[in-house]
Amino acid sequence: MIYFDNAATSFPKSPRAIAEATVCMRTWCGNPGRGAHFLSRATSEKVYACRELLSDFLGLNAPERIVFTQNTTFALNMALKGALRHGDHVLCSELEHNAVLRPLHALQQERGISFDTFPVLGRTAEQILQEITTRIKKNTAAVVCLHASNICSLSLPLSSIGAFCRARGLLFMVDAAQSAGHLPIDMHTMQIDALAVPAHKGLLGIPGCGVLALGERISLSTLIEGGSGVNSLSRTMPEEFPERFEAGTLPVVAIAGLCGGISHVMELGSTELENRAKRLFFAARERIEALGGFEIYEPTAAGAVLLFNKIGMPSTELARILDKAGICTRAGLHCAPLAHQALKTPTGGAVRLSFGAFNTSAEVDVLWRVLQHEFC
Amino acid sequence: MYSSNTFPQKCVAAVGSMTAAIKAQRVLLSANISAEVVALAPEETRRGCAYGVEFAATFENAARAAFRAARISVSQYILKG
Repeated sequence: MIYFDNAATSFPKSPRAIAEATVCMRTWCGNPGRGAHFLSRATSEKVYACRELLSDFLGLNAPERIVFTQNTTFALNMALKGALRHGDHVLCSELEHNAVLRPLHALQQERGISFDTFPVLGRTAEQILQEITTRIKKNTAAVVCLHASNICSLSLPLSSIGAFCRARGLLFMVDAAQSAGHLPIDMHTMQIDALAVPAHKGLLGIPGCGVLALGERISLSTLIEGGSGVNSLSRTMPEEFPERFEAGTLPVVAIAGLCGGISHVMELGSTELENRAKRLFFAARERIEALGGFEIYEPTAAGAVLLFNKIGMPSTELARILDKAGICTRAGLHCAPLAHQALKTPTGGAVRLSFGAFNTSAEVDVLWRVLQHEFC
Repeated sequence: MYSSNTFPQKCVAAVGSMTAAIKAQRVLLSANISAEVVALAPEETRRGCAYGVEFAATFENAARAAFRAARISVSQYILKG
């Protein structure tokens, strides 16, 4: 099997992530912050160590402002629904995933929030800021955007947008689902107020955990309430971070796996991982273009994701052909309908190749041979 | 006023969460103050069910300063004999 669907989840799973998760389940999988016995304390210590690791990795320098969730989507919902108030206006990019678009739509229905998208394709950082500027209204409260698209390798200039937002008193919230682990992220220098990342993609952890990292400026109301392990007499969630936002039992095993994954990323090096992805992108692009009869979307944006179609063939059919040959890809709209619209893909979307830490150039060669065999 | 027989031996800084307690412990350890995370019974604190960090009472002033510098919010200091 050749796995080119790392944008969905990384595979194979990092041996370090597997090892850490296994050790957790065997030796320290208590419930953190729920009691004073040895196992609960040991688990609490391990979870705190993961917060410290993430806080350093993301340039936050505040472990208590690392909030664990079940996934990135939950983290984004928490940030958007916790920060935005009735009548607020939000700006988001034209490439956003439904993890941003659907909560904004729900807030539009429930809380009178309005939002507009700004174009980013084919634009420099300055031009993107200009696009944002022309869309700002008196009630604009936040800019929400992805760092890297899940359907092409385009990434947004977070430092520029962060500085822009800070200067205007706007909140800056970032969906780093596709970038954490291979593009540099520093919340402090990029002036990011809320950052959502998954454990199981570029950070090479396992599914079941996401992270919402919160800067000092942002104030959130809670999305869920429940047991927090402290202040049981109170009917409200505690004020202290992160427990305020972590009602219920944490995904301890996934947190352990995340620690293992991050240490693996740090060993491999984020820059090297990105460069590896680019090499695979260029190799795949060159071979697909040479075959003729294919269309590649945003071919100049090199990185971990390549989106393409066989001209005249539904994307699902192409993906099925590849699947039968043992190559895992994802076809369709990838939960990013506006992005596909912006890239002008057909109504059925396109096929996405998303490279990960363990893909090789030999696997790209196999892809090429399969396409050549089927279509030439 | 405590006599030599009843001078408090330990001080517990009650904080708002387990995470805060671990952070507080780390801060004290960095200041060379030995400290341990403890659970507090509901009747011991004003808010019920809490965690704290326990250290030798003689270090109370130093601990307060360390917590202030680290911006750790302590809900109450409990002296224990």
